[in-house]
Amino acid sequence: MSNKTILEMKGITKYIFDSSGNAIRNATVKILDNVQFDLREGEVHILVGENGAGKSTLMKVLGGIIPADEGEMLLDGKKITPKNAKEAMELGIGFIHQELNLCNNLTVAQNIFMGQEKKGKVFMDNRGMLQKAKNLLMELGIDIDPSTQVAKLSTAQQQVVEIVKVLSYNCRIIIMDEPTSSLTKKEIDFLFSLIHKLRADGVSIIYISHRTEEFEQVGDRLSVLRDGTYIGTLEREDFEINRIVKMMVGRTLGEMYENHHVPGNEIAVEVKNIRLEEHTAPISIHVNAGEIVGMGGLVGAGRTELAKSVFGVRKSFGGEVLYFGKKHSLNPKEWVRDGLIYLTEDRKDEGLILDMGIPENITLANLWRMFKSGVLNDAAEAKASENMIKELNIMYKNANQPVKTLSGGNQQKVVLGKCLITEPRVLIIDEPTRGIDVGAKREIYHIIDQLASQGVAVIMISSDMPELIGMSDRLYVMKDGAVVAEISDKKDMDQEKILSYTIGQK
Amino acid sequence: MEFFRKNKKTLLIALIGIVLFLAGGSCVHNFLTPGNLLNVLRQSAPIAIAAVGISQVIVIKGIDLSVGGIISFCGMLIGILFQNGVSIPVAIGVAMLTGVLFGLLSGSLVAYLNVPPFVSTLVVGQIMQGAAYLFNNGNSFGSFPDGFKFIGNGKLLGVPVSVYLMVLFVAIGVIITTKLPIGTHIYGLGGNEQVLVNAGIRTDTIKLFVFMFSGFCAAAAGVLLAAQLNSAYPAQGDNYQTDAIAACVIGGINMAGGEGKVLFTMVGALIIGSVRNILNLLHVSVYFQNIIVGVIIIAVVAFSMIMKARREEKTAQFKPAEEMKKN
Repeated sequence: MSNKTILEMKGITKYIFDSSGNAIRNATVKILDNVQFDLREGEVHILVGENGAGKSTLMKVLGGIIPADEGEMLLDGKKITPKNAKEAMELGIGFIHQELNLCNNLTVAQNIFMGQEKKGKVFMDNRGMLQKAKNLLMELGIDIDPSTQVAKLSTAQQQVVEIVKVLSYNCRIIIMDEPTSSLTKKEIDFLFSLIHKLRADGVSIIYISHRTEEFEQVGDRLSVLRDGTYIGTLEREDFEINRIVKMMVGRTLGEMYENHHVPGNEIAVEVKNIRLEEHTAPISIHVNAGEIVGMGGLVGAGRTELAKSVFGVRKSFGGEVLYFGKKHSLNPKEWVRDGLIYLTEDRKDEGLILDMGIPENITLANLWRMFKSGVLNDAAEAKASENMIKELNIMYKNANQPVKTLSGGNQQKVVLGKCLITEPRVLIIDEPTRGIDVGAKREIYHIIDQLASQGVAVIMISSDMPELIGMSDRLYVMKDGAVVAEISDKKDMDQEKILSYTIGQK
Repeated sequence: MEFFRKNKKTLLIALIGIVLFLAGGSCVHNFLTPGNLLNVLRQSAPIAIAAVGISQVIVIKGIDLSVGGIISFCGMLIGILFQNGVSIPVAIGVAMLTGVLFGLLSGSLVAYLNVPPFVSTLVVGQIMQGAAYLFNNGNSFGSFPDGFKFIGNGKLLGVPVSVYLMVLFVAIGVIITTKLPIGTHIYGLGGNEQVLVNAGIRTDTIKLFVFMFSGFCAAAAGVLLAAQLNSAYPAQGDNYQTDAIAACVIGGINMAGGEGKVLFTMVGALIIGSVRNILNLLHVSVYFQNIIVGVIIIAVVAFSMIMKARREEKTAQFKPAEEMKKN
């Protein structure tokens, strides 16, 4: 490793953006706030931070996938502004996404040369591409037949294909976003040996990871982001887990949370030995009436899958669920009838009909209960939803405006309203405040607390650590499809401890 | 065993074909005569040619429902052009160009306005079907020039000209899909569009190309059909769209996109052609034949969906519990 800096990112700021990467009009929420980052030739630079700290956004800016709103990037001292992933690759910056960026239906060689196919005199040089792909794979010491369909490869092999694809563009900088998240121990060792080999060849690697045990194995330097800001960079000799975790967490909990409710003693829902997949460990959790139980863990740890399995919209293996002491079938229709509601994390796709107005959305799930004859009554519908709108303090210009024009916070309130009008006894709520501003968050916490005061049992899945600690009476931590910890004393809930469970330190 | 697993689809198609021929040969008088088999080939040609185009639309996760309309329209167009004394090559050229332009229309709706392919092609097909009735007030055209009839019913070296045309179009399809970059891109588009976007490939032009190519093939099928029948009536393309889709499905083109080989669509077309031929020999009415073709499509699609669901069930999302303990 030389000390030559090849890449510098300065003052990168990005406001909250839509799915195509454009800033949302008049947005003031910053995903990245004046972030800096630099990369030396032939180093492995680890980038860490909690969910939502801005790591992926920063790398998407570097990889040309989304533009920065402010700030500049210098590659070898020259300013660069890649407009798309291809331009970034041609500049020498390759991005290996966590969800791999391959066409599973095509062969290894076709994927490697996608968009840069070799041409013969008239036709594509298929044989030449196979040979070149084979050579590139051999250089890395990997024995994969380049004419194999990618779908038939293991995740680790697919990752290798991505690496080869990036190398075929002669990339000098490779971004790896949590490359080990779905690899086995053996595959991880192999990946690390590959990383060392690339580094020795002078390739620089930016390595996003949550796993502390990996830092020392592969990292030369480590930078921490938190809440969209740059916290600091450590040299290898200063890697110390406690210090890193402190840098990652370092927040103070404000007076965001209300806790007026008192958990009851009656067990509302008891999940017994349910397995998410045939080979995962059985999960047993319970929630009492009037209790808020948090579910912590990283994205992809299996929390949403657990909720969906219990609610009956996803397959589960073995076990049973008791509802107020009686065995209950895992069937969404029967759950709703009996008072258990699941609010999904994806309110836009699964929770709301975006083009309908507020009253229709609120009463939608409850039409049969409200109108037993089967005939709708607009006036009654309006009255019922009006009460709910008032109760939840939903802000709107016109009640019949499509809900897609409401802010995220108000949309979430409509979703809550839709569920509250059915007077549930148990509420499973998935990422209740994702993408919502602070003011609306507070109101949603208030609503959840009120519900619990009325005796509703609440299971809250959240990746927002302060929220999890602030709201939960008790919490479970999940990792890799299993519950790895239960923390029942509020005093024991601290971020560092939970974080160490989620990334598997203990 | 490995061989069987790897070529499951191919073997299945071959099996259907063999069973069909044995059944046809043993039960149906006159099926396995050389003359009738050449006839099967000839009758399968328009289906196969249309299927080559449709297969590519299906590969990019679309469907082309304008093929029937294009076949009808191009037949009637040829008719009115001949009636006005236009020469054979010009008439054919105009018909083919029309097919391409209407493919461009459907493709533009898909590529630039994000209209779902089934909507855009259904509407375009409807317009063309409607227009086909206007050429001659709903009446048919007939008695085409001899040179044109030769394309449909003539023979070269004892083989119908239609068969050469079928092979030509299948060859074009095979070359596009396996020998040109755009072929890889078409299949890539059916796999994961984002990958192509990240590689700087213009996916809109690929979509346009695919729909134009399908329009081109459909027009060719329409022209050939008119030549074979030596007539054109406004609803001529009716059954051919479903037959061509059935040919794709039987030939292993995955309705979910990204999978299947053009060459096998020809096999699929021959199977459909044989089914129709056998049913004709048995004097089964064309309406009943349509029901049978529909049932075949449903059966094959359902079968491949069940197989797919089984495969997906096997892929796990979380690591095994033992693996976790080791970490």
